[in-house]
Amino acid sequence: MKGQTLKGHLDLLLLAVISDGPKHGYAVIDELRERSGNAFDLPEGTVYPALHRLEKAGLLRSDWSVVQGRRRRTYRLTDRGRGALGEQGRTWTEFSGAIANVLKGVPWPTTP
Amino acid sequence: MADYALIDDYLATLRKRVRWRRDLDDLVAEVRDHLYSAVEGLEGRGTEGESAQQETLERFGDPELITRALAAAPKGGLAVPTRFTRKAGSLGIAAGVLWPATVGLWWLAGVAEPWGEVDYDSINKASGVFYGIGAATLLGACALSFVTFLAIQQRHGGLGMMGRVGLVFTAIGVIGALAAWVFMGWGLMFMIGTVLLGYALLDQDVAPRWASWALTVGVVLGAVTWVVLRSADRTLLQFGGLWGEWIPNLAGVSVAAVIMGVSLVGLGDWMRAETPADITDQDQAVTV
Repeated sequence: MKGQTLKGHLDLLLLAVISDGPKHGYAVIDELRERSGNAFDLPEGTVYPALHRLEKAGLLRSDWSVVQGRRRRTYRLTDRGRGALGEQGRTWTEFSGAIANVLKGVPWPTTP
Repeated sequence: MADYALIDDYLATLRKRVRWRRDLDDLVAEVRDHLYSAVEGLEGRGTEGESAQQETLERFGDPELITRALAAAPKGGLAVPTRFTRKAGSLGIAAGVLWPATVGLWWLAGVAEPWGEVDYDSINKASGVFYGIGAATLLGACALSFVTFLAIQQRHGGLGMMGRVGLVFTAIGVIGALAAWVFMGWGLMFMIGTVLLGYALLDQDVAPRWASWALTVGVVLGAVTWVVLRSADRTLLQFGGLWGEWIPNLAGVSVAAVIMGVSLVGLGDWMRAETPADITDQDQAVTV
């Protein structure tokens, strides 16, 4: 899946990956790759602007530490970020369900 | 820590390309940690050193792509280098060349030979040309100054109070000189402004230091030249003087114009060399 396809969804994916616990950039990308089954084909470096944007928006918070002699930045979800993840997650689930139903030929929303 | 030459080269290139970032050191440290972690991970899975570095860099993205992606994050104004700031740099270089050139014209018009007879009529006639071209280049220099210093203000953490005061003084000095059509009347304010700005640039250490030094000392050395030549002339007045009033004026302005011109060329080239972050080719751009 190319980067352009991911446009608009990357924030949600990053919030979801980081919601499991604090992670540094490489770990975020590694887990994103693993959980998606290598489905997302985008240059890893382009994830950092998204992380910085989310931090600026108050959805993430970062802390610095020193690991193996290197400075490491670790991101964690803020309360606001957790709220945004829940809201965006619900929207995406409804949206993707609707798309899937349309593709399968099932009417949606189903009304009694 | 292991020595990864390819990774370090990449980091050096990236640092150069995104030097306008206010958080440059943090950004490079973060990317370094990512790249080193990735290489260590690949090596742990059996990939050889150089191959691991190459694969890591391919996955991360080439510096131009990452520069554009990083530039897309902050919004607005002069926070990132653009084609506009690049053009301002070119304008600065042109101003830096034209400024001393106009003073040269003044010399050619007024003095037939070095330290020879001064032709006041020619000087007065040349003054019109001098002020015309000089005003144009001053405007160019002014435009460059504003773009440069406002950009630095937004990108590199600011110029500090001294730099801001210098910017205001320089602006008032230049605008006043153009409005009143008399440069010397506003010279003191301009001088103080440029010295403060040059000092602020040196203090922030963001531009080429030689260009910052030239900005700091240009008008001061011009003033010193004027004072020395005037003093020498007055001292020897009883013997008929050496060169009168015009030569010290011309020499002082020339020294300042040449050094300031050098500074403008340096600062202009510095801005022009930046990689523009304008995303003009949406197909190549990755904005996620």
